[in-house]
Amino acid sequence: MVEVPDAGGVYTPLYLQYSDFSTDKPDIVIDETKFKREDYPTNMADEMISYMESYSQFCRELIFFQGFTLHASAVEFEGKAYLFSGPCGIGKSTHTHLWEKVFGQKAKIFNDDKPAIRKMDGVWYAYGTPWCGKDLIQLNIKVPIAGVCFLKQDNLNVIRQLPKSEALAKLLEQSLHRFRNTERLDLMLGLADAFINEIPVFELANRPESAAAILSRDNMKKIAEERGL
Amino acid sequence: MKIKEGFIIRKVAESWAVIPVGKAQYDFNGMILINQTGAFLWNLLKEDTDIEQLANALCKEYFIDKNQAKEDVEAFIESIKPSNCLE
Repeated sequence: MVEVPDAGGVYTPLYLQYSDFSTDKPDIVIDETKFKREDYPTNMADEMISYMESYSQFCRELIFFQGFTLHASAVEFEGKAYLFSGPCGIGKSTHTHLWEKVFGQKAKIFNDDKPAIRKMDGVWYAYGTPWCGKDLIQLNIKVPIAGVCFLKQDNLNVIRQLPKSEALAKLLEQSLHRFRNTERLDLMLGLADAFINEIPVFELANRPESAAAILSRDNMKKIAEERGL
Repeated sequence: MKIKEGFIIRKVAESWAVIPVGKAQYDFNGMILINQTGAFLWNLLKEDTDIEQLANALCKEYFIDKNQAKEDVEAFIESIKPSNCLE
């Protein structure tokens, strides 16, 4: 579905990383001649700029396929996707790694930075993407979403389901890409609207410990089952 | 007083989201969530108007007294000011 052309030279590592995702007939083609290097600090590594710029292009095109990306770490558990989101450094990756530690083989992280989200045949799926963070944790799979959880750091572990208005603000914070045109923004808001109305959204205040993983898994799984997700 | 160019308003879940697009993003890089009453006032602010007129409209629409309406309008204007959306 997505093609990232081989640029050779400096960009080769990026291409190799993305080659798991290439197909015969791309719907979206990343055009690196349009990368805006001037928008970044001069001492930023080319690979990093390519990562951000290709991601940016992807988001802008994905919206026309009724999809968006979320800044989250996505873990598959018993066939369902649980997404942990929040700003950089909040502990998304730490939390999903705890899931793998506590639940062993039953839990598998399939994207550690920016999974794509799209509704297909009435089901909201989270997708692995090449934009998967510095540890390169990625699987080219799609998994039906059971829930999304925003993290915050605290001295205790408490989870609550968010009311829709709060869920909306947090979802847009971690996904709204700077759209310069109204059409894309309008599409994005439409997707956010549909998503929040169908997928439960939580906030977990937590310490980086196993009990937090058990708490999030128990609560999110319970609500998902009640909702038939 | 009216809303500047470049802000879109759209109903999302149970609120109305107000977001800048294009150049308006340079003044305000965020989003405001407003309720139904706020959305009602926002639409009126698309044309040049003032607190008096907005309060009158609120009175008619919601059957509240003038003083209450004025307070509500002023509170609303204060709440959206930080986004630099008014001119």
